[in-house]
Amino acid sequence: MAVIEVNHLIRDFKIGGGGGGSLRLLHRLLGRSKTLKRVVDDISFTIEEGDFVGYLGPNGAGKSTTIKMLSGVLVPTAGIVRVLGLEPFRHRKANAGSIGVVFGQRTQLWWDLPLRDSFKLLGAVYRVEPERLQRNIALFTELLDMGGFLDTPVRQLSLGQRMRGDIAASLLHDPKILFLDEPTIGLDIVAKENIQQFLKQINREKKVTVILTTHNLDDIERLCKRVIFIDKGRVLFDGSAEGMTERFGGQRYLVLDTEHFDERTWDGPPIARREDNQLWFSIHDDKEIASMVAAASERVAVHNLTVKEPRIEDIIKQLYALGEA
Amino acid sequence: MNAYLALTWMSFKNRKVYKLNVFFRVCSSVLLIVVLREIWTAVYGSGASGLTVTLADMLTYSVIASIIRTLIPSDFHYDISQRVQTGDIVLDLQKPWSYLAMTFFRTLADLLFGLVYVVIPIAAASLLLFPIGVPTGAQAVWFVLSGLLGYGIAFSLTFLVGLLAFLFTEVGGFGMIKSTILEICSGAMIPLWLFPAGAAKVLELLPFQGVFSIPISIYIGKLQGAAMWHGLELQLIWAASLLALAQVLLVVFNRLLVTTGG
Amino acid sequence: MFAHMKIYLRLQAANLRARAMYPLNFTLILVSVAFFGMTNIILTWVLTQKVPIIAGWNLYQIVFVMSLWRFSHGFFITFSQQIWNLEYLVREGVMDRFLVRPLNPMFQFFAMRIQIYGFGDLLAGIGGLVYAAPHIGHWNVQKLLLLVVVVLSGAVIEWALMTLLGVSAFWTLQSGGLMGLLDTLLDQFSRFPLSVYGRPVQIVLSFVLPISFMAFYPSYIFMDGMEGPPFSSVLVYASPAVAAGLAWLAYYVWRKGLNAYQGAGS
Repeated sequence: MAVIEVNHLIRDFKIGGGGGGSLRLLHRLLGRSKTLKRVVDDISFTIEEGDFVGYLGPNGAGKSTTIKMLSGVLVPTAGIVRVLGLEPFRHRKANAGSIGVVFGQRTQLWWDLPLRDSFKLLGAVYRVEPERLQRNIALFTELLDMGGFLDTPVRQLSLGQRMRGDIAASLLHDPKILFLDEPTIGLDIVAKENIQQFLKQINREKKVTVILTTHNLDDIERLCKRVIFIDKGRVLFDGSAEGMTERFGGQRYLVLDTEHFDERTWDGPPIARREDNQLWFSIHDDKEIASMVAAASERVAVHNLTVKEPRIEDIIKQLYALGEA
Repeated sequence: MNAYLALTWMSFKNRKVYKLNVFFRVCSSVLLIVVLREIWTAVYGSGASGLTVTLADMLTYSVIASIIRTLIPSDFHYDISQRVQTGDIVLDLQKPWSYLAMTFFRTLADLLFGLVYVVIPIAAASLLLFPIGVPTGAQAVWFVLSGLLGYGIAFSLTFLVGLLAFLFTEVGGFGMIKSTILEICSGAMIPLWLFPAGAAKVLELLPFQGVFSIPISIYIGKLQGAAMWHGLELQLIWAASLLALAQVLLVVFNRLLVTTGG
Repeated sequence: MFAHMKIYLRLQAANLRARAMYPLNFTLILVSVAFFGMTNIILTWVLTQKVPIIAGWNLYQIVFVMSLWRFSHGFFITFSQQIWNLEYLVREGVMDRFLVRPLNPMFQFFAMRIQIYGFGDLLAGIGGLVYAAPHIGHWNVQKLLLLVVVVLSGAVIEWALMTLLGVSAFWTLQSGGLMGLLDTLLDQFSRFPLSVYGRPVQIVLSFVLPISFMAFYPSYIFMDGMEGPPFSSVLVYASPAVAAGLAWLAYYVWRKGLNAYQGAGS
């Protein structure tokens, strides 16, 4: 079942034109500045229940704007957004009850209150029955290891603790869909792995559909079944994480550490790249590997051999470069 | 000395000019002037006997009071308390210059800013909309001198409130109490000569009148000759003793900070 | 409605708990706000020692009007000073947070924080009212009930006017200057009854920026032996209507502003 449908979605922003300072203010007040910037430019995709989607792209690509339209904060300029069959903006409250949102940079917890009080208040805001609320708080406290700081005011929490609290807070009302905008930004390894583990678990066990924007590559590698990559408001890639690897630089390499290598007299298999005494050969088919090793060792001394798997980091770099061009 | 003046100039230049803010600040001052004029006109209309000066002088008095109000440094105690809270104050105190002087010359930039961006428009507005008297010759010079001494007193008072941050961290409440006392006791709203005789006697001994009452009285020519000298003398004594007190307390608190390690 | 009340009370109880952690500071600021609020009473006392009747008003009557205003203002500060933070919340995107929750955004915005220093103004207002009330007229239960209505209307009027200006932040991202101006206006013109001022000022403060309905006009209800107010004696009872009208307008403009923020149909 499709939980999210996005069809030819467009969003423009007005950019304040004209002079600076008070003149610009006047322009804004009179609505004179008509410079429009298209931040989301004809995006379409469908997300199925239970998906775990990485929504990627460089800064300013339109990721947050899309998330804001999906969560009912922003209204589309054109096109259609449906979340669980409803248009988020028109049915803001109904939509809000069935989604959870974490804006990574900003907390939804009350600064002066202990985490536990924030949870209780949110329970009231979302009208969660007391027993269910208690159960969820207990469950998340255990899974996210929050027992040690449940009664500490939020302003005294570390970033990692706060983020765990924020994620738990967004799930108290058992939303069907969870939007996460940069949830692991600036976190240490332990907090990051804890959060990743947790997200995986709620996606698998509670069947929560997760859409996550991130710059963090291991989030993608460990979590995302599917990747949507956008830049300048357009979708550059949409498919499985493996599919992305295959299509963009899904290249595996045979790497040999050698000695006595001489480029001029080389007549072995074609060399893709050379780093000092390391020779890199592109692998097109696993069956070639044995013959390549044999051919190389006839010509030079081979000390060591490895097969380099493709890395998502490289792919993303390629995709970014594609976006630039 | 050069370093301090450079600091003033730097602060002045670095001050971002939020045109809209300046505009609203001028508006607020003009508004205050309008309100005070209307009130005094009504008061004089309800019985002018015993009000000591003429209505024209009283209106001039309120215009000058409103201008002085926008010029005196009244809220930098927040900066001091903030730096005490973050611990940055230690860096300020370590610098090879007097923290007191440094703060003074930095606030001087605000005075400069206020003179250029706020006072000139207000003065222009009041000359056009509601003409006021202007002192001439020596009286004008003494007014400027008296105004500067008043500035010194206002600065010391705010600085002393700021120093309380070493003891209480938060000083917003003290600042507000200082403002209230200044509002009532300085002649900012009602000249001291309209106070009951007993109260006026007491207020004339306190430093607060040095900020508003004395300079404005010199401006409108109510204080002249021996009485003016006496007023200036009083201002000088208060400015000097408050600054000295501030310096002494600064040294004490600095010791405290060093020995307790902040 | 009940759920809203519950959330509001829990939130404010939590806010108070957080505040109570610094009792010295809290008390000091409360006292100084109250003291500050009484400045005008003291100054008026001084002035009336020389001129007992100003434009037909004596000390107690003047103090009554300014304290009535101060009391309403105290409610405004306590429950809606948050409006000053709107420009910041809009600029920082905190409003987004309110839009992803299943509650009215305006409710969430104002419920975010009460400003307990408003208690200082309430204190100053009560002090002045208690000082002046016995000297201005006869009191009975009806008048006391009317006083409650008047005070609440006054608070709503200030809330509505400030909200109307504050909401401009949705379009311009800055509203502090405008609100500061209104704040100065309120502060200055609450010093004396409207009768003191000339006709142009009276017209502006009655019909353009109707802040005179916060305290000046309704104060006539409680004062015996006064001549009627400027313009018409109907105005004396107009405060609740003015409050309702302005509140509707403020909410309407808030909705417009929020729509603009969300980018609907602009």
